[in-house]
Amino acid sequence: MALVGVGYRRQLARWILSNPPDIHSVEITAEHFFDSGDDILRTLSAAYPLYVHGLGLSLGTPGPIDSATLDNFAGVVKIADPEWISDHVAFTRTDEVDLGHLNPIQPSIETLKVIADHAIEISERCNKRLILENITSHLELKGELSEPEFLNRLCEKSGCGLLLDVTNLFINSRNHRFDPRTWLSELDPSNIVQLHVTGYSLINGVWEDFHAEPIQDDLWELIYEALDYAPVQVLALERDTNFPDARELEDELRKLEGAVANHRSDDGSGTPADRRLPT
Amino acid sequence: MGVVQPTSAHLAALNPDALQAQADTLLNKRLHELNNLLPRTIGMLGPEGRSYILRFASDYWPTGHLRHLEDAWRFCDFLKIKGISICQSEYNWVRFIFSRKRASVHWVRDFDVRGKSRFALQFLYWNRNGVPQEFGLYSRL
Repeated sequence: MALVGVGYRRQLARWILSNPPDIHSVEITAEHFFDSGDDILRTLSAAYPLYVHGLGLSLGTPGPIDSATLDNFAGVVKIADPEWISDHVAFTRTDEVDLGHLNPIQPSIETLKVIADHAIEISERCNKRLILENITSHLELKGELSEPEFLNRLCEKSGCGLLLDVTNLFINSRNHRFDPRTWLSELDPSNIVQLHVTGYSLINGVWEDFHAEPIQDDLWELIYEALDYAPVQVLALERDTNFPDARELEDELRKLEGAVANHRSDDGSGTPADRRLPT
Repeated sequence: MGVVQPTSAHLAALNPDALQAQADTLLNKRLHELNNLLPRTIGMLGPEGRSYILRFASDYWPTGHLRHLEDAWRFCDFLKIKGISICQSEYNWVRFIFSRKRASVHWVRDFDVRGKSRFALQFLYWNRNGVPQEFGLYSRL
């Protein structure tokens, strides 16, 4: 059964470190521990199944991975000793500029090679399985492949898995007007290892991923679909701002736990083909 | 740019509105982080806040994994140079985390006590878990 947990943030530290019964796993952001926090990592690693999530390895940038970032990332992984590590199908920097945020890549054969090579390098360097996350973007870049096909081929080529951010999928589907269920049905479900969920923000008719809201009803439906579809092992609730009190987060975690119990498909039964959604 | 070389056809196919929206998103995320780190300072700027941030952001782009802290610190400096009031206790907090000093103490006029600014001695330090902490000594008078 998928382990429901949260993304560790400084603002939630006291709550998470008190080992509340509704948290069954914790994901930390590697960059938050580049300078300090080794003791917290050890404490979390002893208390929870732990996962290390990166923001800045910039797998989509051609050429070598930034060595300082990779060194720092690998250092955090060594201390945290996570079950697996993750970053994004995106680029955050170019040769000249560190944009500091996730930007879309073109789903082309050329980009596929760049990201797959980087994924293999990161995985080998850290000696951990790498899973990669879909991002939101207002800019849609067209390539030879559809996004799901790109992700399937990336997993096949690099051996990585997928961290499906259900909220990001929902946001992209609204902003770019496509059916998220069709998109999901085109992914190989056996690649999906973990889910990210958080509420979306809707500002002036545009959906955004500020990680600032509780999960909305229409998003819950897509979470249920994803849980039905794939053998998800971990489901992480994210919040980066507008932090509610612990009780509210615990309610949301319990609801996610209920969703996992009612919709799980991680018992190994059925083939990927059996799990394909009707479109 | 060093990103996989798109063909001219791909560039031409980009939707300029979507490109602008993506650029706006990058900027909005930056503004969002500033608001997280400096809620009182941004609040003090009132409706002019966004235009100040945009002016600052157009000339300066922070890099590295501490970019948001550095951005907040530099934005406060930008405001101070312009003679605009900031929340000094927020500025101290941001600089403290960015500097990685073990501890820091400041006299401030705007220490937040249940939503009210108080004249206080602001103590900043890291706890055993490496989490930054703050407390203030102030008179109840």
